Amino acid sequence: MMGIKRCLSHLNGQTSILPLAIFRMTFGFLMAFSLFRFICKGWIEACYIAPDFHFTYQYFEWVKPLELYGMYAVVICCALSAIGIGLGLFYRLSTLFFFLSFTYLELIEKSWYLNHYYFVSLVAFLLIWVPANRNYALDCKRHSTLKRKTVPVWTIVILKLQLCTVYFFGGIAKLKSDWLLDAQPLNIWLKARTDAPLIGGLFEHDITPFLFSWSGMLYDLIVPFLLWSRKFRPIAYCLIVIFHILTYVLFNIGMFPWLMIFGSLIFITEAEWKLLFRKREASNSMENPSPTKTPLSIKLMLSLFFVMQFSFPLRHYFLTDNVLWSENGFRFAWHVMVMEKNGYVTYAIKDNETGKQWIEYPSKRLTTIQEKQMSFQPDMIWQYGKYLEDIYDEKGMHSISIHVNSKASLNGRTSQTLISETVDLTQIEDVDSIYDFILQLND
Amino acid sequence: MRALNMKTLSITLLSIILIVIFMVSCDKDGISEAEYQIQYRREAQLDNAYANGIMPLNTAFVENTTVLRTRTQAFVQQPNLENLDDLQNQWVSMLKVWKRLELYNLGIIEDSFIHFEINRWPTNAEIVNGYIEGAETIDVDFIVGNGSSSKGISAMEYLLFSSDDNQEILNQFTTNPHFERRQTYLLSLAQNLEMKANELQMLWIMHKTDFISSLENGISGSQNQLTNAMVTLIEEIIISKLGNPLGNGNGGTINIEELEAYRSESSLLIIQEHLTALKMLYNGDFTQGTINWGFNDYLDLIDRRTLNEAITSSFDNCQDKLNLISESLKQELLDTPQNAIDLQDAFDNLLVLIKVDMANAIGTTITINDNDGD
Repeated sequence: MMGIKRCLSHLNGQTSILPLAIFRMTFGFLMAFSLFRFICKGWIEACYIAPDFHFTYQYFEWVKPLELYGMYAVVICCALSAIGIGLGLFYRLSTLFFFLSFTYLELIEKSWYLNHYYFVSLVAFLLIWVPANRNYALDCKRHSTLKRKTVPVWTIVILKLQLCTVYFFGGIAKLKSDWLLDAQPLNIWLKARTDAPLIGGLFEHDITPFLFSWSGMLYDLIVPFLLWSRKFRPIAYCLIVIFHILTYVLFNIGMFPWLMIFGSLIFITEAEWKLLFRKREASNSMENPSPTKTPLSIKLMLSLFFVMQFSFPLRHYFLTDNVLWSENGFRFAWHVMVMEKNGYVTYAIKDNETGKQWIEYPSKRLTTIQEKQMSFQPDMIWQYGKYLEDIYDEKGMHSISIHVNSKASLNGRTSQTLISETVDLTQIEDVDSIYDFILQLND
Repeated sequence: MRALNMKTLSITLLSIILIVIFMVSCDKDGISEAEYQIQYRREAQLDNAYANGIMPLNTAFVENTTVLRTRTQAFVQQPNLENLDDLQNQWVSMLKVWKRLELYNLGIIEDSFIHFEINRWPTNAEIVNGYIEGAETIDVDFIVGNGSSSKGISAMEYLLFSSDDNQEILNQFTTNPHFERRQTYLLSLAQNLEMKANELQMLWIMHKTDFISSLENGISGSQNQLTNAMVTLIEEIIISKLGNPLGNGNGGTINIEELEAYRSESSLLIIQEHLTALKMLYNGDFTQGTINWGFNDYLDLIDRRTLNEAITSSFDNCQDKLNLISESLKQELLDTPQNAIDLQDAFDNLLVLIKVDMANAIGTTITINDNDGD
């Protein structure tokens, strides 16, 4: 009881705003860069405009894309709000708009799901509630009364916790036989990257994928704890830089490494920054004219948020015995880079009234990335089946059966049938029911 | 003070890690020859595909289109049955080369859309007839300015094989209305095709360095692009060249007009040439007597011999099923469509092995699409 009281008292105490301001700036500018990169790569067209059909998320089927110019407007405004976050300008409005617009962009198309996009949405949500614009921000130039040297400890702790969640549950997700006993998928990926400069020769050793797999797992599980420790923080940060630069060089994983490298700066305290730049710490640096108070409702809401964050990634243990194969509970669980999976799907459609039969090849109606992602994810296979049902219904065929021929290969295994060919997708009304028809994976 | 010590320690640790990585990665003696050759083999595979596969096909295609153009000129100057027959035979010879070269639609070649200019099917007969019956001056420039559905290999096929009776075709070039414009259109098509064949060859010469040096496993890596090219062609065979004629898209009604090159009855020949090209690329067996590196050697090298055997066997199965079709594919669809269905199934099996198993084994999943993370 005393421990909890002391903990709460610590969370409500004051600390320097500097780490929070640095986090705000790096996050804002990095996200602005990321969004302009998204535009320059032509991904607005590829993700939102090109598809005739969108794979929406369960319970968010109502989220739809706008027309081309509308989508450009949303992405540009989202990027501008990210710049607003970086500058600390119209901060509340910027964070709120960034969170809503970025999350909207992610909810439109499931085939473009990325763990780090999810992470960005969560961080954006948290930033709404913290006073990260109370110093080193243009808002303070506009209203000098806003300026504070300190913020409540909890405002920094929640961002640290969110970052550690990614690492820790990313480590838990690696506690699988494929990863630990077969060093998969790193065995495949590293063998394919023997051309990498400087370290490529390493990947020709059979032992290397095992070293990488085990050290990767240990890194994920340990580094969050090292970051909290003042003693080990320098080593932890060095490891973070090495690890993420390595993943950036070896794998095509875009912005994720930079997000984690810069995000981890939240752990570096003001004293450590000053030490790093050899500045003497001012004795009165912690003085605060009027510390901000946090409403109880926000505290309760954030507590609930983290209860969800700590439990949601583990839900697959209750849903399936092989999350990599069935993918039931795979998303939003920090399964980062844990599998090499390919698939191939065709649909056999039969008009029960006339006996006529069709074969539907998804490449006819889907974009390359949609087809590829759908080919091994059962919920998306079901979704596309329902889409086909609608199309044939519009053609006047109201009594059809749809069977799927799905083959998938996981982490170097021989391709196997993913979903039972006997199941008629038209009879499955609920996406969760498709998981009942996943066939057993054989090694 | 303690923090400063930790900083020093961190820098030392970082330096040690980098030095160890550098030393180990430079140590070729510490690994087996077979392991070391993974990289070497990938490079050799690309060299082999370029030097012995792609470039000889390009040369042969240029030669064939040149002969095609000269025979077209001969036919236009002296339109008779003998010259028509020669021209038709040359069109088929050129087609055989093209259907092997068509596999290599990748990199800047794919970006240039030149394959569409050379062979887009089906041709739009209505547009072609419209041009012939129209009043615009027909020459190579006119053809260049037109859309791909009215030129190239398919448009020539439409003009050269528009009837089962060669006399009737000859009449179209000698006595029927607009016969002179038809001759000019045919000759312009042949000239345009020769020009495009040369352009394609030039593109490949320009692309050489990029192609053979793109050893990375990224989206622009050549091995990855070759895998994707194989997948694309096999899907094309399954969906368009067999599936559509079999009625996969219309409720099961056989439709021979959906066959590629059904007028010249070359549909089966086309699939045969595709299969040969795919098998050559997979095995690297472009020429006799040289060292031929292909995907098969690469799979062996990364300990996926069983998969290699399965793919080899699947290629053989496709060939066996193709051999069962003794007549033209058009006739086979009308008489015993089951043989075409079996052939489609055989390609389906090959597709799963290449697109799913092989792609998984060589690690193309993370790079087949440009993306932003995981």
